[in-house]
Amino acid sequence: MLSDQRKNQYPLSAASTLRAWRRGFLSQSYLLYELDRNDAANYVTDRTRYLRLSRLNAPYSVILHDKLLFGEVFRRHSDVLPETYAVVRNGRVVPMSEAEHVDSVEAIFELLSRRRRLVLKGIRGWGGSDTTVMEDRDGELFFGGVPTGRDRARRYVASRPPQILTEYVEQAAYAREIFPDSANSIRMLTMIDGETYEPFLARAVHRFGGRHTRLMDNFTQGGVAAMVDPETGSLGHGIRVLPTGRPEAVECHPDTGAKIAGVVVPRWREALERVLEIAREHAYLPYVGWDVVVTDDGIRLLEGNSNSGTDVLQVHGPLLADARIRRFYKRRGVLA
Amino acid sequence: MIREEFRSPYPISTAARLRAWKLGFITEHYLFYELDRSDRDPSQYVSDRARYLRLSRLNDPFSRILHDKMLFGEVFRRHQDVLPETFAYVRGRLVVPLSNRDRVDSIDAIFDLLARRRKLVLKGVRGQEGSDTTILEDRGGELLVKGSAMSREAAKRFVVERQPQILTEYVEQAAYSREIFPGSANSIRMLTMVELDTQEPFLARALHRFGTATSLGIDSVARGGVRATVDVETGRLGPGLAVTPQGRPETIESHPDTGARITGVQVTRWKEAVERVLDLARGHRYLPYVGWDVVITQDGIRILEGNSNSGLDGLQHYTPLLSDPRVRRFYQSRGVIL
Repeated sequence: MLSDQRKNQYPLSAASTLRAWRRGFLSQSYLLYELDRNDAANYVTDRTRYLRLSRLNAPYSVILHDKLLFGEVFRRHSDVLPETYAVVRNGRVVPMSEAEHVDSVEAIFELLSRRRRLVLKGIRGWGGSDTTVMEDRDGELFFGGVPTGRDRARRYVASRPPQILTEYVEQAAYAREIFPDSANSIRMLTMIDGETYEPFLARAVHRFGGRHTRLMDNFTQGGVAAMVDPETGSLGHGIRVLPTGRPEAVECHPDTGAKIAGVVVPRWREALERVLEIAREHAYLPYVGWDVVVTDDGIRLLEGNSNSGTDVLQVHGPLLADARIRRFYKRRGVLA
Repeated sequence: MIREEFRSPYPISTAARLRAWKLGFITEHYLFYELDRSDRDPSQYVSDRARYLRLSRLNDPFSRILHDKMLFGEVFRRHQDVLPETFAYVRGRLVVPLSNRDRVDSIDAIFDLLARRRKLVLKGVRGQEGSDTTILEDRGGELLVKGSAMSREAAKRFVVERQPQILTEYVEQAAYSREIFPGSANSIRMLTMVELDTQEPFLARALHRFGTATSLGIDSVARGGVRATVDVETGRLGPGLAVTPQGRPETIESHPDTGARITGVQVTRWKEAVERVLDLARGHRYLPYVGWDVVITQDGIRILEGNSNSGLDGLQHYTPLLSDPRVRRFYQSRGVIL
């Protein structure tokens, strides 16, 4: 939490910083939630998130922290998991797929020339912090959108911390139209009711990349986020972070001008049902922030987060205003 | 390793104990391999020192999949034909359902399922070599826990007081194995290795274990079971092995309790079983060194668990592991043996 506070780039007076800290919030959350205007009592604080929510999936949160493990556990739901081709570690490439045998760095580039786009994901990264989209545009390689010579590309792959190599997920048209350069995912936070073991959707927020997010859909690094109406799948207005750290509501995507508010996620009901089914089958993970991409033929789960960021969720309104969510946290003993 | 040394019940002279340690073996294995015989070459055996200090790294950083039985089940259950059904994860009074077919979400639901299934298995998430495995039985309303009759209340308390467990189906073994000893699910420890160059797995060794009257429904050797090598090529059982009170190996040809012949018995559909296990190893190459516990059933195989740092004494008693060039190459290429 301290390191996150130090990362804060937004101006905030010492008095307000102190006030934020006393209430358990980072400066950036204080600004994002506009706690100088809103009642802080209904927000999940950063202190609670770091100190207590991290316990919710113990002892199996490792399944969500380690992307190889996540893939191995969830790939039995083969319709929703992107194909994993290999694990790359210390320059060694261990094949993971029977459909495509990728067993060397050369084989990665050979597959890339056929597939055009692939994703390298750090086994330990989160929030897209160690994700590289690799592209082959007719023989020319691009890593994270930047042209990269073949030798450099090879060295890059061989020198990363352990990674998995997965397919690039092609999103459905509605999301491509809003912002085509990133796989725009929906963060769906599911909770398992402690009494019935039934899962419910606490909140869903659609993220979209922006010009500065390097092919990712990261909200705090220049993206846009819009709340999804859980009943209808309709998007609310988008929110982006201003240089002051405060939120700004937008009707359209700032880079493409495409309308966000009112767009309906296609087959939303199906998507939601499938995510709840999966949550139900893994009820030993009661609190998961799924990254879901809606595709032309269904959904793909990019990853599950054990201690989902609350900023992108609560910028649309405090979580604890929902009685069911409050009950979940209380019953699990992480909220007084 | 030190704990294992102190646990050894066998008499040995101080000089021999010192020699064992200098060679890297605990005295129990020094006696069992008979390394004091002049025709034995200790350098051909994987030592206990190498096993504890270096072999334990072979599946890093993913060995936790093999150390935690719940995690093992979650990773491997996509191979539906070979994994026993897991019904629930049990931690104290918390019973988290894991199966859609039979929903078990409370302690009472465990016993309701037991009434229908007659036998179930509770397995400690962290146990090794059957050390925390309990067979639950319901014989027409009479409950047996580890073979002893218990009231329903006592059985419930027993379950609640355990360390975290998974509840799984009881695997019914094929006839050949039941005939040798029907009181336990007798499994084969199959040790697979994935070659570094080709990334292809091979079966290094196989050892059949059988329960005995003293092993309480488990085939664990640590609990007094017996074992027999399996010819990897043919699936025929070799001589059986027991341990004398002096810690020396004793060759047996029949089961000590049932009298059923062991040596020469053919494991049914052996080739199929080996192929299926190699398929699994191929699907999980990031775990290059696994000791699988495989039960042959009427219709195929079931994998009870995978062990990251398999015990080796039974596997290398008759033929030391490093005398096989392919096995030696495996260990060398992975940097755990010179």
